[in-house]
Amino acid sequence: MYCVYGHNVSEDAVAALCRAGWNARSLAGGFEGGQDGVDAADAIAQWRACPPISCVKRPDWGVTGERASRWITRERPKVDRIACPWLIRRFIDPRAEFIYVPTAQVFAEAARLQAVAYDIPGAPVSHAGERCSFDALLQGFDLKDAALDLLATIVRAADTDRLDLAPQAAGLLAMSLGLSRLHNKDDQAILDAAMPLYDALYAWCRDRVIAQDEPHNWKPETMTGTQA
Amino acid sequence: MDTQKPSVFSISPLEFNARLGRADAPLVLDVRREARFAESPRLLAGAVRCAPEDVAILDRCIKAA
Repeated sequence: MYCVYGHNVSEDAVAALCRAGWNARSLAGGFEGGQDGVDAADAIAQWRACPPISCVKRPDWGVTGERASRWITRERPKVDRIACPWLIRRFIDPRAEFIYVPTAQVFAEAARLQAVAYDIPGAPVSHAGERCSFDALLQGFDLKDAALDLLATIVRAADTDRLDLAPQAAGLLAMSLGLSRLHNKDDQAILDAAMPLYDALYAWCRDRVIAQDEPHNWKPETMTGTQA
Repeated sequence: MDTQKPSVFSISPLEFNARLGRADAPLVLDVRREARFAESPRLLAGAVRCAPEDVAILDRCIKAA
């Protein structure tokens, strides 16, 4: 949990939850990374060098953190219509609800259910040029994470028939089509089955990005004590 | 951040980010005071709002949809 600076508000809340049996932790530095003149300068600098991943609130899309958002798209999802729910559930709104309906009903049902239509032409979240709905979500929520950017390239490649963009896309496409075949009458079952697939792919993207970043993080002045 | 207090009940942004994007990610609660929450345009990734005075009734806060 987090408050503004990671001081008393979240500490008191953590203490209350721990007393109630929760394994609660407060985020060091809170939302702002600490308070100038109160917290140690090096701790503030450390927070700002690697801030926690955040997104913008989108009240127009029902995302403010206060209640569950609702999303609707065409039935028979393959890549983008599974990748988007994964992104929303893991990085935007863990309580989000996802609905799949026949193409002709998407906008009528979106209005009736107060859901956000996505991955269909004319929807607030959809393809734009070469970029797919997953890209549109990253941009629309201002999510900044190198591993998510790499995942977005793989999703875009698999979803827009541009397998040359990322070698992993061919595998993702094959798995997606296979899941669609296995659960050919149940779109929610496809989503449930695909969640661990995307968790795994994102974990791989994270490792890949961290490995690529290592040369940039090579700081000999901080490593002198570790020499054998 | 506050070096005067034990850090056993806090996690760094680096640890926080490493726990995201997976089924066993922690529940992220935004417990900023109401005015600061309302004026802020952002949330941490996947955060669920729970006003500090509602922490005591957390179950209700989580289940409210």
